[in-house]
Amino acid sequence: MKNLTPVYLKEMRSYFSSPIAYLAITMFLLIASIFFILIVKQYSAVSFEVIRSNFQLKIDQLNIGEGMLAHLYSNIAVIVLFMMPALTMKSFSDEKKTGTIELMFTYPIKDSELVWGKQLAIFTVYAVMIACTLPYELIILYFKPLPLGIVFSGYLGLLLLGFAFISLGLFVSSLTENQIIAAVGTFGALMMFWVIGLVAGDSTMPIAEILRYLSIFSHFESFAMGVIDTRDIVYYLSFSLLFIFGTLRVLESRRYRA
Amino acid sequence: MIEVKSLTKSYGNVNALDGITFSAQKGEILGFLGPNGAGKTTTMRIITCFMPASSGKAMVAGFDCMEEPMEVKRRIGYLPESAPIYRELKVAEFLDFVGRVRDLKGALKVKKIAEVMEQTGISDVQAKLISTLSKGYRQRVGLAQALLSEPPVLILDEPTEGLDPKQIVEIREVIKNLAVGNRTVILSSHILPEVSKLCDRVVIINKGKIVAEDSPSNLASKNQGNLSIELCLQGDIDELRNFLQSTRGLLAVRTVDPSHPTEHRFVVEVDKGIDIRRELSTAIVDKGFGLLEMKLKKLSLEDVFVNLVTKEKAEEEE
Ligand SMILES: Nc1ncnc2c1ncn2[C@@H]1O[C@H](COP(=O)(O)OP(=O)(O)OP(=O)(O)O)[C@@H](O)[C@H]1O
Ligand SMILES: [Mg+2]
Repeated sequence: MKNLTPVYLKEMRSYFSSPIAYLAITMFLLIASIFFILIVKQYSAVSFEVIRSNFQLKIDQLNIGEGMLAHLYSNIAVIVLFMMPALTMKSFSDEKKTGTIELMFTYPIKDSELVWGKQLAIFTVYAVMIACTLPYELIILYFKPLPLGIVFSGYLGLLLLGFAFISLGLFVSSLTENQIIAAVGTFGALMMFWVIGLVAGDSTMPIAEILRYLSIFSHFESFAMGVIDTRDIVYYLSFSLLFIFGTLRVLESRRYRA
Repeated sequence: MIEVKSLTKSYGNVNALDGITFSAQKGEILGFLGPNGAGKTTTMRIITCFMPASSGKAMVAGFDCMEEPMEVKRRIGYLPESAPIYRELKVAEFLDFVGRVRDLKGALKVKKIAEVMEQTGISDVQAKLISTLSKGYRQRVGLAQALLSEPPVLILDEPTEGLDPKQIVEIREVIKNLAVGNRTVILSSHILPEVSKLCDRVVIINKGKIVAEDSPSNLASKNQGNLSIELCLQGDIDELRNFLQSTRGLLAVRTVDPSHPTEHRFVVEVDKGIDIRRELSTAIVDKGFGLLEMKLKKLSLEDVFVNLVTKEKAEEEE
Protein backbone atom coordinates (compact mmCIF):
# COMPACT_ATOMS: atom_id res chain seq x y z
CA MET A 1 0.00 0.00 0.00
CA LYS A 2 3.01 2.24 -0.56
CA ASN A 3 1.36 4.21 -3.35
CA LEU A 4 -1.87 4.77 -1.45
CA THR A 5 -0.68 8.11 -0.09
CA PRO A 6 0.31 9.64 -3.45
CA VAL A 7 -3.01 8.59 -4.99
CA TYR A 8 -4.90 9.94 -1.97
CA LEU A 9 -3.07 13.28 -2.06
CA LYS A 10 -3.57 13.63 -5.80
CA GLU A 11 -7.30 12.99 -5.42
CA MET A 12 -7.54 15.51 -2.59
CA ARG A 13 -5.78 18.15 -4.70
CA SER A 14 -8.12 17.41 -7.59
CA TYR A 15 -11.20 17.79 -5.38
CA PHE A 16 -10.16 21.04 -3.82
CA SER A 17 -8.88 22.64 -7.01
CA SER A 18 -12.14 22.08 -8.84
CA PRO A 19 -15.40 23.72 -7.78
CA ILE A 20 -17.26 20.45 -7.28
CA ALA A 21 -16.27 19.90 -3.63
CA TYR A 22 -16.99 23.51 -2.63
CA LEU A 23 -20.27 23.50 -4.51
CA ALA A 24 -21.43 20.22 -2.99
CA ILE A 25 -20.49 21.34 0.55
CA THR A 26 -22.21 24.71 0.12
CA MET A 27 -25.41 23.20 -1.25
CA PHE A 28 -25.39 20.57 1.45
CA LEU A 29 -24.99 23.14 4.24
CA LEU A 30 -27.67 25.35 2.77
CA ILE A 31 -30.24 22.58 2.69
CA ALA A 32 -29.16 21.11 6.03
CA SER A 33 -29.48 24.56 7.64
CA ILE A 34 -33.03 24.94 6.34
CA PHE A 35 -33.90 21.60 7.91
CA PHE A 36 -32.20 22.62 11.15
CA ILE A 37 -34.28 25.81 11.31
CA LEU A 38 -37.47 23.82 10.66
CA ILE A 39 -36.56 21.37 13.41
CA VAL A 40 -35.89 24.20 15.87
CA LYS A 41 -39.23 25.80 14.97
CA GLN A 42 -41.02 22.50 15.46
CA TYR A 43 -39.30 22.04 18.81
CA SER A 44 -40.32 25.49 20.06
CA ALA A 45 -43.89 24.90 18.91
CA VAL A 46 -43.98 21.71 20.93
CA SER A 47 -42.49 23.56 23.90
CA PHE A 48 -45.35 26.09 23.82
CA GLU A 49 -47.92 23.31 23.73
CA VAL A 50 -46.28 21.69 26.70
CA ILE A 51 -46.36 24.96 28.65
CA ARG A 52 -49.99 25.62 27.67
CA SER A 53 -50.97 22.16 28.91
CA ASN A 54 -49.30 22.85 32.26
CA PHE A 55 -46.66 20.22 31.56
CA GLN A 56 -49.29 17.49 31.12
CA LEU A 57 -48.93 16.70 27.39
CA LYS A 58 -46.07 15.75 25.07
CA ILE A 59 -43.52 16.25 27.78
CA ASP A 60 -41.38 13.39 26.43
CA GLN A 61 -40.93 15.27 23.14
CA LEU A 62 -39.00 17.97 24.95
CA ASN A 63 -36.07 15.63 25.17
CA ILE A 64 -33.27 17.25 23.11
CA GLY A 65 -32.06 13.91 21.79
CA GLU A 66 -35.32 12.56 20.43
CA GLY A 67 -36.98 15.93 19.91
CA MET A 68 -34.20 17.50 17.87
CA LEU A 69 -31.03 15.53 17.23
CA ALA A 70 -32.67 12.35 15.94
CA HIS A 71 -34.65 14.41 13.40
CA LEU A 72 -31.58 16.39 12.49
CA TYR A 73 -29.40 13.36 11.80
CA SER A 74 -32.11 11.53 9.84
CA ASN A 75 -32.61 14.57 7.66
CA ILE A 76 -28.88 15.00 7.10
CA ALA A 77 -28.66 11.34 6.07
CA VAL A 78 -31.29 11.92 3.40
CA ILE A 79 -29.54 15.05 2.11
CA VAL A 80 -26.31 13.04 1.93
CA LEU A 81 -28.08 10.57 -0.34
CA PHE A 82 -28.88 13.39 -2.73
CA MET A 83 -25.41 14.99 -2.63
CA MET A 84 -23.20 11.92 -2.72
CA PRO A 85 -23.49 11.17 -6.47
CA ALA A 86 -22.00 14.61 -7.15
CA LEU A 87 -18.91 13.69 -5.13
CA THR A 88 -18.36 10.22 -6.56
CA MET A 89 -19.40 10.57 -10.20
CA LYS A 90 -16.12 11.78 -11.59
CA SER A 91 -13.74 9.43 -9.78
CA PHE A 92 -13.28 6.78 -12.45
CA SER A 93 -15.52 8.10 -15.23
CA ASP A 94 -13.52 11.27 -15.71
CA GLU A 95 -10.22 9.40 -15.81
CA LYS A 96 -11.62 7.11 -18.48
CA LYS A 97 -12.99 9.98 -20.51
CA THR A 98 -9.85 12.13 -20.43
CA GLY A 99 -7.56 9.10 -20.83
CA THR A 100 -5.61 9.71 -17.62
CA ILE A 101 -6.63 6.19 -16.60
CA GLU A 102 -3.98 5.10 -19.10
CA LEU A 103 -1.37 6.78 -16.87
CA MET A 104 -2.82 5.28 -13.70
CA PHE A 105 -2.84 1.80 -15.19
CA THR A 106 0.72 2.07 -16.48
CA TYR A 107 2.28 3.55 -13.33
CA PRO A 108 3.36 0.97 -10.76
CA ILE A 109 0.15 1.45 -8.77
CA LYS A 110 -1.88 -1.51 -7.53
CA ASP A 111 -5.61 -1.55 -8.20
CA SER A 112 -6.24 -1.67 -4.47
CA GLU A 113 -4.11 1.45 -3.92
CA LEU A 114 -6.07 3.23 -6.61
CA VAL A 115 -9.49 2.27 -5.25
CA TRP A 116 -8.66 2.90 -1.59
CA GLY A 117 -6.93 6.16 -2.43
CA LYS A 118 -10.06 7.39 -4.14
CA GLN A 119 -12.41 6.00 -1.48
CA LEU A 120 -10.49 7.66 1.34
CA ALA A 121 -10.13 10.97 -0.50
CA ILE A 122 -13.88 11.23 -1.10
CA PHE A 123 -14.45 10.13 2.48
CA THR A 124 -12.25 12.99 3.68
CA VAL A 125 -14.21 15.50 1.62
CA TYR A 126 -17.39 13.98 3.02
CA ALA A 127 -16.09 14.14 6.59
CA VAL A 128 -15.30 17.84 6.11
CA MET A 129 -18.83 18.33 4.81
CA ILE A 130 -20.35 16.55 7.80
CA ALA A 131 -18.09 18.41 10.22
CA CYS A 132 -19.54 21.66 8.87
CA THR A 133 -22.82 20.78 10.62
CA LEU A 134 -21.22 20.77 14.08
CA PRO A 135 -22.21 24.42 14.68
CA TYR A 136 -25.85 23.23 14.94
CA GLU A 137 -24.95 21.31 18.07
CA LEU A 138 -23.08 24.34 19.39
CA ILE A 139 -26.21 26.46 18.89
CA ILE A 140 -28.25 23.91 20.84
CA LEU A 141 -25.56 23.72 23.51
CA TYR A 142 -25.89 27.48 24.04
CA PHE A 143 -29.44 26.94 25.29
CA LYS A 144 -29.45 23.45 26.75
CA PRO A 145 -27.03 20.75 27.86
CA LEU A 146 -26.24 18.40 24.99
CA PRO A 147 -26.68 14.60 25.23
CA LEU A 148 -23.18 13.80 23.99
CA GLY A 149 -23.94 10.10 23.52
CA ILE A 150 -26.48 10.84 20.80
CA VAL A 151 -24.17 13.36 19.14
CA PHE A 152 -21.41 10.76 19.05
CA SER A 153 -23.55 7.91 17.75
CA GLY A 154 -25.26 10.22 15.24
CA TYR A 155 -21.98 11.30 13.67
CA LEU A 156 -20.57 7.78 13.79
CA GLY A 157 -23.66 6.61 11.92
CA LEU A 158 -23.34 9.41 9.37
CA LEU A 159 -19.69 8.53 8.72
CA LEU A 160 -20.47 4.83 8.29
CA LEU A 161 -23.44 5.59 6.04
CA GLY A 162 -21.33 7.98 3.96
CA PHE A 163 -18.53 5.45 3.61
CA ALA A 164 -21.04 2.93 2.28
CA PHE A 165 -22.57 5.46 -0.16
CA ILE A 166 -19.09 6.35 -1.45
CA SER A 167 -18.18 2.73 -2.14
CA LEU A 168 -21.35 2.32 -4.17
CA GLY A 169 -20.69 5.57 -6.06
CA LEU A 170 -17.14 4.50 -6.89
CA PHE A 171 -18.39 1.16 -8.14
CA VAL A 172 -20.92 2.74 -10.50
CA SER A 173 -18.31 5.26 -11.67
CA SER A 174 -15.91 2.43 -12.55
CA LEU A 175 -18.51 1.04 -14.95
CA THR A 176 -18.89 4.04 -17.25
CA GLU A 177 -16.90 6.87 -18.75
CA ASN A 178 -19.93 9.14 -18.65
CA GLN A 179 -20.17 11.20 -15.44
CA ILE A 180 -23.88 11.86 -15.88
CA ILE A 181 -24.61 8.16 -16.15
CA ALA A 182 -22.41 7.56 -13.10
CA ALA A 183 -24.33 10.17 -11.09
CA VAL A 184 -27.80 9.02 -12.15
CA GLY A 185 -26.85 5.37 -11.67
CA THR A 186 -25.52 6.01 -8.17
CA PHE A 187 -28.54 8.07 -7.23
CA GLY A 188 -30.91 5.42 -8.57
CA ALA A 189 -29.14 2.62 -6.72
CA LEU A 190 -29.13 4.55 -3.43
CA MET A 191 -32.83 5.33 -3.85
CA MET A 192 -33.50 1.63 -4.38
CA PHE A 193 -31.75 0.79 -1.13
CA TRP A 194 -33.94 3.41 0.57
CA VAL A 195 -37.25 2.55 -1.07
CA ILE A 196 -37.09 -1.17 -0.27
CA GLY A 197 -37.24 -0.17 3.40
CA LEU A 198 -40.38 1.90 2.81
CA VAL A 199 -41.95 -0.96 0.86
CA ALA A 200 -41.29 -3.36 3.71
CA GLY A 201 -42.95 -0.96 6.18
CA ASP A 202 -43.89 -2.69 9.44
CA SER A 203 -44.95 -5.92 7.77
CA THR A 204 -43.87 -9.11 9.50
CA MET A 205 -43.61 -11.22 6.35
CA PRO A 206 -40.17 -12.86 5.91
CA ILE A 207 -39.56 -10.98 2.66
CA ALA A 208 -40.26 -7.71 4.46
CA GLU A 209 -37.72 -8.65 7.11
CA ILE A 210 -35.11 -9.17 4.43
CA LEU A 211 -35.93 -5.93 2.66
CA ARG A 212 -35.80 -4.07 5.94
CA TYR A 213 -32.44 -5.59 6.66
CA LEU A 214 -31.09 -4.54 3.26
CA SER A 215 -32.51 -1.04 3.48
CA ILE A 216 -29.80 1.53 3.92
CA PHE A 217 -31.69 3.87 6.26
CA SER A 218 -33.24 1.30 8.56
CA HIS A 219 -29.77 0.76 9.99
CA PHE A 220 -29.35 4.43 10.60
CA GLU A 221 -32.39 4.87 12.86
CA SER A 222 -30.77 3.45 15.95
CA PHE A 223 -27.61 5.57 15.45
CA ALA A 224 -29.84 8.65 15.28
CA MET A 225 -31.51 7.62 18.56
CA GLY A 226 -28.16 7.20 20.28
CA VAL A 227 -27.95 3.43 20.11
CA ILE A 228 -24.81 1.90 18.67
CA ASP A 229 -25.63 -1.61 17.54
CA THR A 230 -22.86 -3.84 16.17
CA ARG A 231 -25.32 -5.32 13.66
CA ASP A 232 -25.71 -1.90 12.06
CA ILE A 233 -21.96 -1.33 12.00
CA VAL A 234 -21.51 -4.75 10.41
CA TYR A 235 -24.17 -3.89 7.83
CA TYR A 236 -22.48 -0.66 6.69
CA LEU A 237 -19.01 -2.17 6.66
CA SER A 238 -20.05 -5.24 4.68
CA PHE A 239 -22.03 -3.04 2.29
CA SER A 240 -18.87 -0.96 1.72
CA LEU A 241 -16.53 -3.91 1.35
CA LEU A 242 -18.89 -5.60 -1.09
CA PHE A 243 -18.82 -2.62 -3.45
CA ILE A 244 -15.09 -1.99 -3.02
CA PHE A 245 -14.59 -5.63 -3.93
CA GLY A 246 -16.86 -5.12 -6.94
CA THR A 247 -14.85 -2.10 -8.09
CA LEU A 248 -11.63 -4.10 -7.81
CA ARG A 249 -13.18 -6.85 -9.94
CA VAL A 250 -14.24 -4.30 -12.57
CA LEU A 251 -10.70 -2.91 -12.74
CA GLU A 252 -9.25 -6.39 -12.88
CA SER A 253 -11.50 -7.40 -15.78
CA ARG A 254 -9.43 -5.25 -18.15
CA ARG A 255 -6.63 -7.77 -17.77
CA TYR A 256 -8.62 -10.66 -19.19
CA ARG A 257 -7.37 -11.63 -22.62
CA ALA A 258 -9.96 -10.82 -25.25
CA MET B 1 15.40 -5.31 -23.65
CA ILE B 2 12.01 -5.57 -25.32
CA GLU B 3 10.86 -8.80 -26.92
CA VAL B 4 7.56 -9.04 -28.71
CA LYS B 5 6.44 -12.38 -30.12
CA SER B 6 3.52 -13.03 -32.47
CA LEU B 7 1.29 -10.52 -30.78
CA THR B 8 -2.33 -10.39 -31.86
CA LYS B 9 -5.13 -8.19 -30.63
CA SER B 10 -8.73 -8.09 -31.72
CA TYR B 11 -11.41 -5.64 -30.67
CA GLY B 12 -14.60 -7.57 -31.29
CA ASN B 13 -14.20 -8.57 -34.90
CA VAL B 14 -11.58 -5.93 -35.75
CA ASN B 15 -8.12 -7.46 -35.90
CA ALA B 16 -5.93 -4.59 -34.79
CA LEU B 17 -2.74 -6.67 -34.53
CA ASP B 18 -2.05 -9.74 -36.57
CA GLY B 19 1.12 -11.45 -35.40
CA ILE B 20 3.67 -8.74 -34.58
CA THR B 21 7.19 -9.90 -33.75
CA PHE B 22 10.15 -7.62 -33.12
CA SER B 23 12.73 -6.79 -30.50
CA ALA B 24 14.59 -3.72 -29.31
CA GLN B 25 18.05 -3.76 -27.78
CA LYS B 26 19.62 -1.67 -25.05
CA GLY B 27 20.72 1.76 -26.20
CA GLU B 28 18.53 1.65 -29.26
CA ILE B 29 15.89 4.06 -30.57
CA LEU B 30 13.27 2.09 -32.44
CA GLY B 31 10.78 3.89 -34.64
CA PHE B 32 7.23 2.70 -35.31
CA LEU B 33 5.95 3.89 -38.60
CA GLY B 34 2.56 3.23 -40.10
CA PRO B 35 -0.59 4.85 -41.46
CA ASN B 36 -3.56 5.66 -39.21
CA GLY B 37 -5.08 2.56 -37.66
CA ALA B 38 -1.99 0.45 -38.34
CA GLY B 39 -1.78 -0.75 -34.75
CA LYS B 40 1.07 1.36 -33.35
CA THR B 41 -0.83 2.56 -30.31
CA THR B 42 -2.28 -0.90 -29.70
CA THR B 43 1.21 -2.45 -29.67
CA MET B 44 2.48 0.19 -27.24
CA ARG B 45 -0.50 -0.30 -24.95
CA ILE B 46 0.25 -3.99 -24.72
CA ILE B 47 3.94 -3.45 -23.96
CA THR B 48 3.07 -0.93 -21.22
CA CYS B 49 0.59 -3.40 -19.64
CA PHE B 50 -2.36 -1.09 -20.23
CA MET B 51 -4.19 -3.95 -21.88
CA PRO B 52 -3.55 -7.60 -22.62
CA ALA B 53 -2.91 -9.05 -26.06
CA SER B 54 -5.36 -11.58 -27.45
CA SER B 55 -2.45 -13.92 -27.95
CA GLY B 56 1.32 -13.76 -28.13
CA LYS B 57 3.88 -12.52 -25.70
CA ALA B 58 5.56 -9.26 -24.75
CA MET B 59 8.61 -9.12 -22.51
CA VAL B 60 10.35 -6.08 -21.04
CA ALA B 61 13.73 -6.53 -19.37
CA GLY B 62 13.03 -10.22 -18.98
CA PHE B 63 9.61 -9.75 -17.35
CA ASP B 64 6.44 -10.93 -19.02
CA CYS B 65 3.82 -8.18 -19.39
CA MET B 66 1.02 -10.60 -18.48
CA GLU B 67 2.76 -12.40 -15.62
CA GLU B 68 4.64 -9.62 -13.84
CA PRO B 69 3.08 -6.31 -14.85
CA MET B 70 4.38 -4.43 -11.77
CA GLU B 71 8.00 -5.21 -12.63
CA VAL B 72 7.39 -4.10 -16.20
CA LYS B 73 5.61 -0.89 -15.19
CA ARG B 74 8.45 0.07 -12.86
CA ARG B 75 10.85 0.01 -15.81
CA ILE B 76 8.80 1.90 -18.38
CA GLY B 77 8.23 5.59 -18.88
CA TYR B 78 5.19 6.00 -21.11
CA LEU B 79 3.80 8.94 -23.02
CA PRO B 80 0.33 7.88 -24.20
CA GLU B 81 -1.10 9.15 -27.45
CA SER B 82 -2.21 12.81 -27.18
CA ALA B 83 -0.68 13.06 -23.70
CA PRO B 84 -3.61 12.71 -21.29
CA ILE B 85 -2.81 14.47 -18.01
CA TYR B 86 -4.72 15.81 -15.00
CA ARG B 87 -6.06 19.15 -16.11
CA GLU B 88 -7.11 20.25 -12.62
CA LEU B 89 -3.57 19.99 -11.20
CA LYS B 90 -0.68 22.40 -11.50
CA VAL B 91 2.35 21.23 -13.49
CA ALA B 92 4.56 20.97 -10.38
CA GLU B 93 1.82 19.19 -8.40
CA PHE B 94 1.36 16.66 -11.15
CA LEU B 95 5.09 15.94 -11.41
CA ASP B 96 5.26 15.68 -7.63
CA PHE B 97 2.56 13.00 -7.79
CA VAL B 98 4.45 11.12 -10.51
CA GLY B 99 7.67 11.39 -8.48
CA ARG B 100 6.00 9.83 -5.42
CA VAL B 101 4.44 7.05 -7.46
CA ARG B 102 7.86 6.42 -8.99
CA ASP B 103 9.47 6.03 -5.56
CA LEU B 104 11.41 9.30 -5.58
CA LYS B 105 11.70 10.97 -2.19
CA GLY B 106 12.71 14.22 -0.56
CA ALA B 107 15.58 16.21 -2.04
CA LEU B 108 16.16 13.72 -4.83
CA LYS B 109 12.57 14.08 -5.98
CA VAL B 110 12.82 17.88 -5.97
CA LYS B 111 16.08 17.73 -7.92
CA LYS B 112 14.76 15.29 -10.52
CA ILE B 113 11.59 17.32 -11.05
CA ALA B 114 13.65 20.48 -11.58
CA GLU B 115 15.92 18.66 -14.02
CA VAL B 116 13.14 17.18 -16.10
CA MET B 117 11.30 20.51 -16.26
CA GLU B 118 14.50 22.12 -17.48
CA GLN B 119 15.02 19.36 -20.03
CA THR B 120 11.53 19.66 -21.50
CA GLY B 121 11.39 23.43 -21.19
CA ILE B 122 8.44 23.72 -18.81
CA SER B 123 10.11 25.39 -15.82
CA ASP B 124 8.34 28.65 -16.64
CA VAL B 125 4.88 27.14 -16.44
CA GLN B 126 5.35 24.96 -13.36
CA ALA B 127 2.91 26.99 -11.24
CA LYS B 128 0.20 26.97 -13.90
CA LEU B 129 -2.84 24.77 -14.01
CA ILE B 130 -2.38 22.15 -16.72
CA SER B 131 -5.82 23.02 -18.13
CA THR B 132 -4.52 26.50 -19.00
CA LEU B 133 -1.52 25.23 -20.99
CA SER B 134 -1.39 25.11 -24.77
CA LYS B 135 -1.42 21.71 -26.45
CA GLY B 136 2.30 21.82 -27.15
CA TYR B 137 3.08 22.53 -23.51
CA ARG B 138 0.75 19.77 -22.35
CA GLN B 139 2.65 17.43 -24.66
CA ARG B 140 5.87 18.54 -22.97
CA VAL B 141 4.44 17.87 -19.53
CA GLY B 142 3.47 14.43 -20.82
CA LEU B 143 7.05 13.86 -21.92
CA ALA B 144 8.34 15.16 -18.58
CA GLN B 145 6.26 12.64 -16.58
CA ALA B 146 7.61 9.81 -18.74
CA LEU B 147 11.24 10.88 -18.25
CA LEU B 148 11.04 11.76 -14.55
CA SER B 149 12.28 8.55 -12.98
CA GLU B 150 14.86 7.92 -15.73
CA PRO B 151 13.38 4.53 -16.60
CA PRO B 152 15.44 2.11 -18.71
CA VAL B 153 12.64 1.85 -21.27
CA LEU B 154 10.76 4.76 -22.81
CA ILE B 155 7.65 4.32 -24.91
CA LEU B 156 6.55 7.49 -26.65
CA ASP B 157 3.39 7.53 -28.75
CA GLU B 158 3.71 10.36 -31.26
CA PRO B 159 5.88 12.54 -29.02
CA THR B 160 6.10 15.53 -31.37
CA GLU B 161 2.43 15.69 -32.24
CA GLY B 162 0.92 19.13 -31.73
CA LEU B 163 4.22 20.94 -31.42
CA ASP B 164 5.29 23.90 -33.53
CA PRO B 165 8.33 23.48 -35.82
CA LYS B 166 10.72 25.10 -33.37
CA GLN B 167 9.49 22.94 -30.49
CA ILE B 168 9.71 19.85 -32.68
CA VAL B 169 13.41 20.47 -33.20
CA GLU B 170 13.93 21.00 -29.46
CA ILE B 171 12.01 17.90 -28.43
CA ARG B 172 13.76 15.78 -31.05
CA GLU B 173 17.04 16.91 -29.56
CA VAL B 174 15.78 15.82 -26.13
CA ILE B 175 14.73 12.42 -27.48
CA LYS B 176 17.99 11.95 -29.30
CA ASN B 177 19.90 12.46 -26.06
CA LEU B 178 17.70 9.95 -24.26
CA ALA B 179 19.21 6.85 -25.75
CA VAL B 180 22.39 7.24 -23.81
CA GLY B 181 23.82 4.24 -22.04
CA ASN B 182 21.48 1.31 -21.71
CA ARG B 183 18.20 3.01 -22.38
CA THR B 184 15.77 1.71 -24.95
CA VAL B 185 13.35 4.08 -26.66
CA ILE B 186 10.38 3.15 -28.82
CA LEU B 187 8.58 5.99 -30.52
CA SER B 188 5.79 6.11 -33.06
CA SER B 189 5.33 8.73 -35.68
CA HIS B 190 3.71 9.58 -38.98
CA ILE B 191 6.54 11.88 -39.87
CA LEU B 192 9.15 10.08 -41.95
CA PRO B 193 12.03 12.54 -41.72
CA GLU B 194 11.60 12.46 -37.96
CA VAL B 195 11.93 8.71 -37.81
CA SER B 196 14.85 8.60 -40.21
CA LYS B 197 16.67 11.28 -38.23
CA LEU B 198 16.02 9.94 -34.76
CA CYS B 199 15.87 6.20 -34.99
CA ASP B 200 18.50 3.51 -35.29
CA ARG B 201 15.92 1.11 -36.58
CA VAL B 202 12.48 1.43 -38.13
CA VAL B 203 9.58 -0.98 -37.95
CA ILE B 204 6.96 -0.27 -40.57
CA ILE B 205 3.50 -1.54 -39.59
CA ASN B 206 0.46 -1.73 -41.78
CA LYS B 207 -2.92 -3.23 -40.84
CA GLY B 208 -1.50 -4.99 -37.82
CA LYS B 209 1.41 -6.57 -39.67
CA ILE B 210 5.08 -5.69 -39.88
CA VAL B 211 5.89 -4.99 -43.51
CA ALA B 212 9.52 -3.98 -43.09
CA GLU B 213 12.13 -3.70 -40.38
CA ASP B 214 15.60 -2.25 -40.80
CA SER B 215 17.75 0.82 -40.27
CA PRO B 216 16.46 3.91 -42.10
CA SER B 217 19.47 3.99 -44.43
CA ASN B 218 19.22 0.27 -45.20
CA LEU B 219 15.53 0.55 -45.92
CA ALA B 220 16.21 3.27 -48.42
CA SER B 221 19.27 1.59 -49.94
CA LYS B 222 17.62 -1.81 -50.29
CA ASN B 223 15.55 -0.08 -52.83
CA GLN B 224 18.54 1.80 -54.19
CA GLY B 225 18.64 -0.81 -56.94
CA ASN B 226 15.56 0.94 -58.19
CA LEU B 227 14.94 4.47 -59.28
CA SER B 228 11.62 6.06 -59.71
CA ILE B 229 10.31 8.26 -62.47
CA GLU B 230 7.50 10.67 -61.88
CA LEU B 231 5.25 11.17 -64.87
CA CYS B 232 2.49 13.60 -65.64
CA LEU B 233 0.38 12.26 -68.50
CA GLN B 234 -2.74 13.21 -70.35
CA GLY B 235 -5.40 10.70 -71.39
CA ASP B 236 -7.92 8.27 -69.97
CA ILE B 237 -6.74 7.14 -66.57
CA ASP B 238 -7.54 3.46 -66.99
CA GLU B 239 -5.95 3.28 -70.41
CA LEU B 240 -2.88 5.02 -69.05
CA ARG B 241 -2.60 2.64 -66.17
CA ASN B 242 -3.03 -0.41 -68.38
CA PHE B 243 -0.44 0.93 -70.77
CA LEU B 244 2.11 1.58 -68.02
CA GLN B 245 1.52 -1.74 -66.38
CA SER B 246 2.08 -3.57 -69.65
CA THR B 247 5.22 -1.66 -70.56
CA ARG B 248 8.37 -3.69 -70.09
CA GLY B 249 11.01 -2.43 -67.69
CA LEU B 250 8.58 -0.79 -65.29
CA LEU B 251 8.65 -2.59 -61.96
CA ALA B 252 5.87 -0.87 -60.08
CA VAL B 253 3.25 1.66 -61.03
CA ARG B 254 1.58 3.97 -58.58
CA THR B 255 -1.06 6.62 -59.19
CA VAL B 256 -0.55 9.92 -57.41
CA ASP B 257 -3.39 12.27 -56.59
CA PRO B 258 -5.99 11.27 -59.18
CA SER B 259 -8.03 14.43 -58.59
CA HIS B 260 -7.23 16.27 -61.80
CA PRO B 261 -9.71 15.33 -64.56
CA THR B 262 -7.31 15.07 -67.50
CA GLU B 263 -3.77 15.24 -66.15
CA HIS B 264 -2.66 12.17 -64.25
CA ARG B 265 0.45 11.70 -62.17
CA PHE B 266 2.17 8.38 -61.84
CA VAL B 267 5.27 7.20 -60.10
CA VAL B 268 6.92 4.23 -61.76
CA GLU B 269 9.86 2.29 -60.47
CA VAL B 270 12.60 1.27 -62.84
CA ASP B 271 15.77 -0.73 -62.57
CA LYS B 272 18.78 1.44 -61.88
CA GLY B 273 20.92 -0.28 -64.53
CA ILE B 274 18.90 0.74 -67.57
CA ASP B 275 17.83 4.23 -68.43
CA ILE B 276 14.52 3.70 -70.21
CA ARG B 277 13.41 7.32 -70.27
CA ARG B 278 13.93 7.67 -73.99
CA GLU B 279 12.00 4.51 -74.92
CA LEU B 280 9.30 5.29 -72.41
CA SER B 281 8.70 8.79 -73.74
CA THR B 282 8.59 7.53 -77.33
CA ALA B 283 6.16 4.79 -76.36
CA ILE B 284 3.87 7.22 -74.56
CA VAL B 285 3.75 9.61 -77.47
CA ASP B 286 3.33 6.79 -80.00
CA LYS B 287 0.24 5.61 -78.12
CA GLY B 288 -1.25 9.06 -78.51
CA PHE B 289 -1.07 10.11 -74.84
CA GLY B 290 0.17 13.54 -73.84
CA LEU B 291 3.53 13.61 -72.02
CA LEU B 292 3.53 16.72 -69.86
CA GLU B 293 6.30 15.99 -67.37
CA MET B 294 8.94 13.40 -66.68
CA LYS B 295 11.25 13.49 -63.68
CA LEU B 296 13.85 11.03 -62.43
CA LYS B 297 14.26 10.70 -58.70
CA LYS B 298 15.87 8.53 -56.08
CA LEU B 299 13.69 6.64 -53.65
CA SER B 300 13.36 8.32 -50.28
CA LEU B 301 12.26 6.55 -47.12
CA GLU B 302 8.89 8.05 -47.84
CA ASP B 303 8.66 6.20 -51.15
CA VAL B 304 9.73 3.01 -49.46
CA PHE B 305 7.01 3.49 -46.89
CA VAL B 306 4.30 4.29 -49.41
CA ASN B 307 5.44 1.43 -51.63
CA LEU B 308 5.40 -1.09 -48.84
CA VAL B 309 2.02 0.01 -47.63
CA THR B 310 0.41 0.15 -51.08
CA LYS B 311 2.02 -3.07 -52.24
CA GLU B 312 0.35 -4.78 -49.32
CA LYS B 313 -2.97 -3.35 -50.40
CA ALA B 314 -2.55 -4.47 -54.01
CA GLU B 315 -1.73 -8.01 -52.92
CA GLU B 316 -4.78 -8.09 -50.76
CA GLU B 317 -7.03 -7.05 -53.62
CA GLU B 318 -5.77 -9.78 -55.89
N1 LIG C 1 -10.85 0.65 -28.10
C1 LIG C 1 -10.98 0.20 -29.37
N2 LIG C 1 -12.10 -0.44 -29.75
C2 LIG C 1 -12.24 -0.90 -31.01
N3 LIG C 1 -11.32 -0.78 -31.97
C3 LIG C 1 -10.17 -0.15 -31.66
C4 LIG C 1 -9.94 0.37 -30.35
N4 LIG C 1 -8.72 0.93 -30.32
C5 LIG C 1 -8.20 0.77 -31.56
N5 LIG C 1 -9.06 0.12 -32.37
C6 LIG C 1 -8.82 -0.26 -33.78
O1 LIG C 1 -7.59 -0.94 -33.85
C7 LIG C 1 -6.87 -0.55 -35.00
C8 LIG C 1 -5.48 -0.08 -34.63
O2 LIG C 1 -5.59 1.12 -33.89
P1 LIG C 1 -4.34 1.89 -33.30
O3 LIG C 1 -4.88 2.97 -32.42
O4 LIG C 1 -3.41 0.93 -32.70
O5 LIG C 1 -3.70 2.53 -34.59
P2 LIG C 1 -2.47 3.55 -34.72
O6 LIG C 1 -1.45 2.88 -35.56
O7 LIG C 1 -2.04 4.01 -33.39
O8 LIG C 1 -3.14 4.73 -35.54
P3 LIG C 1 -2.90 6.31 -35.45
O9 LIG C 1 -1.74 6.59 -36.34
O10 LIG C 1 -4.16 6.86 -36.03
O11 LIG C 1 -2.69 6.68 -34.04
C9 LIG C 1 -7.72 0.47 -35.71
O12 LIG C 1 -8.41 -0.18 -36.75
C10 LIG C 1 -8.68 0.95 -34.67
O13 LIG C 1 -9.91 1.30 -35.24
MG1 LIG D 1 -1.96 5.79 -32.48
